[in-house]
Amino acid sequence: MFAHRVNKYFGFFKMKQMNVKSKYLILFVLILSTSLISFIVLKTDISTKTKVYKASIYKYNEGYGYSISYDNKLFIKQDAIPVIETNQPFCNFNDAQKVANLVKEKLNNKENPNVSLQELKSLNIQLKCSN
Amino acid sequence: MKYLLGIILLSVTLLNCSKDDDYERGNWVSRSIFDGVPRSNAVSFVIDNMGYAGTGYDGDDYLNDFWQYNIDGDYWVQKATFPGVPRTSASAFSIDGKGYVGIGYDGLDELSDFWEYDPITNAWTQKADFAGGPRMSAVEFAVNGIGYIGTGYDGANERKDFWKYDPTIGEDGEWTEIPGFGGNKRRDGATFVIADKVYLGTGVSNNVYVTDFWMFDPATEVWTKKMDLDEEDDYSIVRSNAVGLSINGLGYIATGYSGGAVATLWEYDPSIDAWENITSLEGSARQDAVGFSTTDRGFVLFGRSGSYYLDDIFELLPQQEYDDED
Repeated sequence: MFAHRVNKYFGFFKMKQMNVKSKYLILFVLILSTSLISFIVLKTDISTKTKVYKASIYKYNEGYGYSISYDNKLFIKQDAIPVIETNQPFCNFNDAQKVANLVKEKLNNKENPNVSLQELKSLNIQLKCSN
Repeated sequence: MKYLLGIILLSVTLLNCSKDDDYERGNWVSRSIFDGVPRSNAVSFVIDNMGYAGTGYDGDDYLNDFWQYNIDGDYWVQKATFPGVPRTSASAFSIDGKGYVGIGYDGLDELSDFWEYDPITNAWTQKADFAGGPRMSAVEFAVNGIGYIGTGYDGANERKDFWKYDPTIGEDGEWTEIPGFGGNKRRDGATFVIADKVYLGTGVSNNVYVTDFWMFDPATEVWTKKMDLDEEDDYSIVRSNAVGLSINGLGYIATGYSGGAVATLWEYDPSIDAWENITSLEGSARQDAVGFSTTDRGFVLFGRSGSYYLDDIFELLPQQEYDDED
């Protein structure tokens, strides 16, 4: 027990005597590993953040459209209702939002973002506006 | 310690140097960086600087969705769904501001129906069936108001017949056969158009890659044989399921299949009938991709690498120096 303490004491003493070169080496390795770890952390953080698609609804020609962006970069811009033969925007805000959310969900699930006629129907999207 | 620092500095310097060592012509710029509309064997055409692409196969389903790609804005718009049955390996071209999509394969049968898309009304109209009979994996192009479909596979055989479509005749337009193509039958060939002349090559027939290369002049309807694609020892142009592009008077055969997915890019100079190998696609090697060609810009998109279906888009800048960081 006593011998161990002495050893510890001398070990500390020896370290104090460590030459300047080794000190620099330790410092260098420390800086290198710190920067490496922070780089990895930073990278991981970014990649999880950018995996999310965002939808926004906008007013367009007496109706509504939606856009889907990814990491602040526009990806889909829908001035008109998709799928059907028309240039008609969505009749109301809620319709645009329902379809935008569907597309966003598909993209976040890594699915093809195409909307089908059945989906428009099951979401009760108004295809002809009453005015 | 000094040695260690020295070695690190030296290796960093060397790494930087090796990048600038030799000039490599041709640069690919990745346009979309996210999960998009993955598929192979889609169709594509360009109207007024907008790319249109749709149909195809995603590994599970035959598709009939149809998209507009805004080239300047680098974003997509889902358009009116293609009203024919969902299909793969169809053909498409554009004439006078309208798109035409037809033939292909629905998983059971080869198809012969043919449709017109009007981007102004966002509506489809059925037109005269392709008169060459049901087929898939054909080549197609349009020059001076006339569309052409030829070669391909009819379910039993590869074909070598060519047909032209004039949309102005009657209600539905009219198909007429144009004889005179002296090349091999084939499926999954590629074409590009330079100065109103059409260049046709690549493809496969009876599991053998064809090597002949042809120029077609729509004004005279004469086919002229050009130098074979394996004429020079260092040519590795021969392949199938490639993309043909034309940018600023030069032609390109990009990606495709040759025993496996291919990424290489060959540039054709019609003035000397010769090919040059420039920078390969800076993305996954792929087959069954499609392209958009405007007069001065070219894009390669979609396709598959084995059973992995791709959704990315790359712009080819053939006169730029290779840069791996864009």
